[in-house]
Amino acid sequence: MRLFRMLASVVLVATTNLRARWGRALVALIAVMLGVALVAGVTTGYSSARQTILDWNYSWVGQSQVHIQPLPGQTVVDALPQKLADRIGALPGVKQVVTRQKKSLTIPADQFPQGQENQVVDGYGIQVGGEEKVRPSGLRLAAGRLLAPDGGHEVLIEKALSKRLGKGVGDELVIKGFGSNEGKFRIVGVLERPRLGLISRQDLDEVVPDLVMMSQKDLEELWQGFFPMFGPGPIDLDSIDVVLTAASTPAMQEADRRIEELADSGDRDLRLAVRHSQIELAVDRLDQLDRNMRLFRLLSRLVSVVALLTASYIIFTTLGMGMVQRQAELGMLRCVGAGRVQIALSTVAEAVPIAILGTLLGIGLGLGAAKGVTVYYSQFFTRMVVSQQGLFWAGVGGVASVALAVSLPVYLATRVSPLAASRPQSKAMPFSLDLAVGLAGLGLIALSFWLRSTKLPWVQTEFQAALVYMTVGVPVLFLGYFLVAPLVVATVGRAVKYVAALLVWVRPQLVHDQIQTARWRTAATFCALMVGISMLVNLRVHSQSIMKGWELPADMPPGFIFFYPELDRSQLDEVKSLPDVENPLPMMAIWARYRPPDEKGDHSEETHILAGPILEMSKLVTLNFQEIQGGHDGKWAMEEFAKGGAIFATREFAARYNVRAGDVAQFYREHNYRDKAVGLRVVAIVEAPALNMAIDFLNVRDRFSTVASGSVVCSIVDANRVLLQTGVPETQAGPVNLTDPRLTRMLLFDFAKGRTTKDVAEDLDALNSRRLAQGHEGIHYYAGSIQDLLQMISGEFEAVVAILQKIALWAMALASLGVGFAMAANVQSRRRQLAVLRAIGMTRFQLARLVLAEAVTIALIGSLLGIIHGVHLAVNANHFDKHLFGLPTKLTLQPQTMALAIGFAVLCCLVASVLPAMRAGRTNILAALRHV
Amino acid sequence: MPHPYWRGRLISEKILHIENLVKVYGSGSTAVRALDGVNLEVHSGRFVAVMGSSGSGKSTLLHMIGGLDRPSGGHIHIRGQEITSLSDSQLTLFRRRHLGIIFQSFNLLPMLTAEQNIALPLMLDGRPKREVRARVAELMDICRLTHRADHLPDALSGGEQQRVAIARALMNEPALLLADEPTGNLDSSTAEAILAFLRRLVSDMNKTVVMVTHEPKAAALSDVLVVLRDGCIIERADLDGSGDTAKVIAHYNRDM
Ligand SMILES: Nc1ncnc2c1ncn2[C@@H]1O[C@H](COP(=O)(O)OP(=O)(O)OP(=O)(O)O)[C@@H](O)[C@H]1O
Ligand SMILES: [Mg+2]
Repeated sequence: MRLFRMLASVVLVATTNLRARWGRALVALIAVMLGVALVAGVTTGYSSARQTILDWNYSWVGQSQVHIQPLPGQTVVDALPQKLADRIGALPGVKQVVTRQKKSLTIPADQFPQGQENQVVDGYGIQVGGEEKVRPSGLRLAAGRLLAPDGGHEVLIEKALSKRLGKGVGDELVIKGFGSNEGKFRIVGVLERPRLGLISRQDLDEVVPDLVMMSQKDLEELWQGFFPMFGPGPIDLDSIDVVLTAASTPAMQEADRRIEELADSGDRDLRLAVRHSQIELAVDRLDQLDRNMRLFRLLSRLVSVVALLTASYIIFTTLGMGMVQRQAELGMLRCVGAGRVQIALSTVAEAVPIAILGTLLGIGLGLGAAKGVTVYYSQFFTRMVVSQQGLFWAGVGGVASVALAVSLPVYLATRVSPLAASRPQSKAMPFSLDLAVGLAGLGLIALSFWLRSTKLPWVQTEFQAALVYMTVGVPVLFLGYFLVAPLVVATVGRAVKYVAALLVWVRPQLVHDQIQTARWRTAATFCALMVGISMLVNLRVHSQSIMKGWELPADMPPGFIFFYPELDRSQLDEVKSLPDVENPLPMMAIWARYRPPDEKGDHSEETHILAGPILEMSKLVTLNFQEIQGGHDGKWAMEEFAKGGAIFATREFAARYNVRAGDVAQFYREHNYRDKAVGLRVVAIVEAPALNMAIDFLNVRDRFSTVASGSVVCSIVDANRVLLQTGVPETQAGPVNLTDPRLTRMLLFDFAKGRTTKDVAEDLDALNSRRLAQGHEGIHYYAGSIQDLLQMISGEFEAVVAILQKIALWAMALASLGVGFAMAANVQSRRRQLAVLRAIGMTRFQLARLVLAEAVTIALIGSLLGIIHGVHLAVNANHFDKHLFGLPTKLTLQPQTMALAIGFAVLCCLVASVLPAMRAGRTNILAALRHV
Repeated sequence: MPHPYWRGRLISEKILHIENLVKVYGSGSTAVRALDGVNLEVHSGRFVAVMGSSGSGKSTLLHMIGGLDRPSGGHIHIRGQEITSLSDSQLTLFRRRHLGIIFQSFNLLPMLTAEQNIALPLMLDGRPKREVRARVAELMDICRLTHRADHLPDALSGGEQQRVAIARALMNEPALLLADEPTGNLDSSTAEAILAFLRRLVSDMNKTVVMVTHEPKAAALSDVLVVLRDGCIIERADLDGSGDTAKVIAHYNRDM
């Protein structure tokens, strides 16, 4: 009881304090709120983006637990027999099998409003009733309804296609199939195709054809007669989805095993089908997805940590500064017999409501903002998914950041001597303290370097190391810079103040007084600024570094055509002979996984494989030999390469997997193809700065589904071996002639004189018309120039940077809040001093200018440190780009960036100090002097 | 009518006993011997005035007695309790229970009302609300502050603020009331009222007060005059508390 009453007195002091200094409390509250909101918002955004990609994936592979589709190019028709679906349906543990067919269809030109040509679309024959179950997100309706089970000649079309056609629900549509087959369909529904992730994929739309969906019976009719020898009947399947009775991982693995066992059943068709198909398990897909989301995870971790640090810092300056100003009060409390614990408790009691209220409001605000974003950008987010883990961390982070912020003030408060009541300690901080703290700060900065470069024993992968660094290293780095701040003020403040004094025309001595004697407070003020500025600088420097890192060799062919799916030999020959194409250079860009010899470790990252004729290859990327097998020369390596079975590995790849020249590297394509790896000999280790990036961007289709770790270069034949999984053990199946490069994904070429991308595209359209007339499928292509590609890349970076800059703006908003408050607190705490200045004849205007001069000084020092800090962060980001994502970067510092940072800082400080300056000008001399 | 406390005056107890008190600030060549072997005895119900020129060690002496700072040597006994050997938390408790301290700048907590400021020491001690309320009412009555109970310090005059500070110092019925230039910030008429009030505390309520002052007029109201110079007591004179300023000045000047 007594203890309770003792506590009550403490709470009384705290609450009246909060009420009396509500402005300060409000700033702290807003800081926590925004910090927590950012964490809650970013994590929710992350999980929503993840869900979107999941939905997108599901729209292709569905929610089935096992998805089977043919390996491309393995058989003549790239399809699975109906027989396989039937057999799988009979396996134990299988609840339902849903099949899907896919064929190229053509919508004749006369169906479009005007002036358009025949358009090739992907026609899906779906199992009405089953498809909705396994792939609901692939059938999101924008209008109309789904196919009726017994309604023939009904079709669903994609929204984009519906727009182009000018047709909607209820309209008729003529669709052509094989040869002269043709059908008249009624459009019953318009489909919404979910977009992928954060970035609009307009270019992807051009590569991936529009889709129409109809019943399997209707599709079969359209393709009647394609296999004259089989007569009418079911056409082969594009995919088989299996729903199991149990959805557990062991059940999926068991089903996988049983399906593979079907190959040994003695039936030749089944054996071929199983051998030539890829079986994907839902667990593997999720696994893959999470790996692909790493960059987002890292970013959201970074943003969360920085937001909370900033919030914590603002709370520190607001509450902590208050503690310093209240020395006499605290001393008095000690005189009347308040114990240290009581003092500490009263300080904590002030922070508790701020922590709780701020965290709750912040979570609400963050979720609200996330909801707003998902609704506003509904084309990028299918729905909002609240991350429970994120909320947990937002809550813990909010409270922890307050705890961190008040721990030092609380400690200092308990150290206040009762003597402070009679003699408030206003003695200047000795320079030696600045020096000591500054050195400690430098130590922390060094520690953060160490944390980045050292592999901690419990950290297994580079990714984990990056996450650890974001969580531990970044705060250490920030703290280091914070601690260095007073030292910087003490040393460069002198010079800077002259500049500032000159700018607003006041006596430097007056500024000096403030800047030097209140070094710590000044440092505290501009630290908030530093955080914002450094984020801004970091983003710009980082994005520019990436752009600069991607430099193309001078003689790279200016034009490219990308094919999806890959072209076979005869198709390629037709494309090579197009009139506007010169010096055609076929290339292959695929990804595969490296399998370490011991089968252990994290070998789930993909390796990019770029393939082409070796001599021409050097046009595309610069290759510098680092190590060659057996100490031979470059010429030897090139010869081996051309002979086949040999690769050049990039340095990152070699380092990542500890591979040396002469080793045999095993590659496999799919998650569960343990026995279908291809062994290729590493004849040389090369340095190819832009290779990963080049492949990544040329490999359009897989861009969003892969995270690469290093890359290798090989011949097209070898790339095809990997793609087709005909390695060790050699499969008996398939008419694959390995000396004949069948599949090509890309053609690089020089434009014929005076020709452009448009001309080449016209050539290809004409080629497609010819092919369709002959009953062949059309070629899906994406043609462009390297110039286009570069623009596309920079466009994408700008999109990402734009998003990040929005985050930086949040940080700036937080920071300017801190700056504004610190400036106001500065003026408030110096009311007496300012009143004395007024009393001895300074005008209001002069006083206001004095405050502005301080603002400018703070801005200049703040941006100086902010720029250094920002560049430091960018160097770190570049480091992770290289080690985690294989992106080449080149540190690029543009004067504009620096000017922008300084300008922004000055602006921010001026705006933040206008109110305090006016207030200072209005200072009532008598009131200020009376008030002790 | 005599105040209920008047009987206490009959028993004169030794409240404060200082032996060979030394305080050295700093070290080496910059060391300052603020107190250099002070011996002093104060009995209950006495009003002691400490005088001395600026820098003579008056405040330092008061801080030592109040346990606000630690001496470099010597002993201080308050009501028989040796305080120099107490730990920090014991000292805090001792201050809370047995001492009242008043400063030149009134040092009220600006966000608490007059009433709350006064109540603070007992609240910190966790006393029952009823007891605290009764005591506050009594003291506000004594200090004539009843009509100002709910005002914040900002709204009070200097004299009122100092009275609040005194009331706060009296809350715990201290054995010893320490005052460092309590009237330094006040105009002369307000100062006189405060001094008269302190005098009454001693005469009528048997409080013991040690007051540092520069004003001979203030010192003249005391029972004992102590004069410090360079950290040593150079004069200890019994006055009669009659307010005879000339006597004080005579004592003070004798040694200057
Ligand atoms: N914290 C300290 N550090 C160093 N020296 C100190 C400290 N406090 C006081 N002194 C010195 O001790 C001596 C006595 O100081 P004290 O404050 O007791 O003087 P005082 O008699 O109260 O003077 P005043 O009448 O001006 O208040 C002075 O010389 C002073 O400079
Ligand atoms: Mg003094």
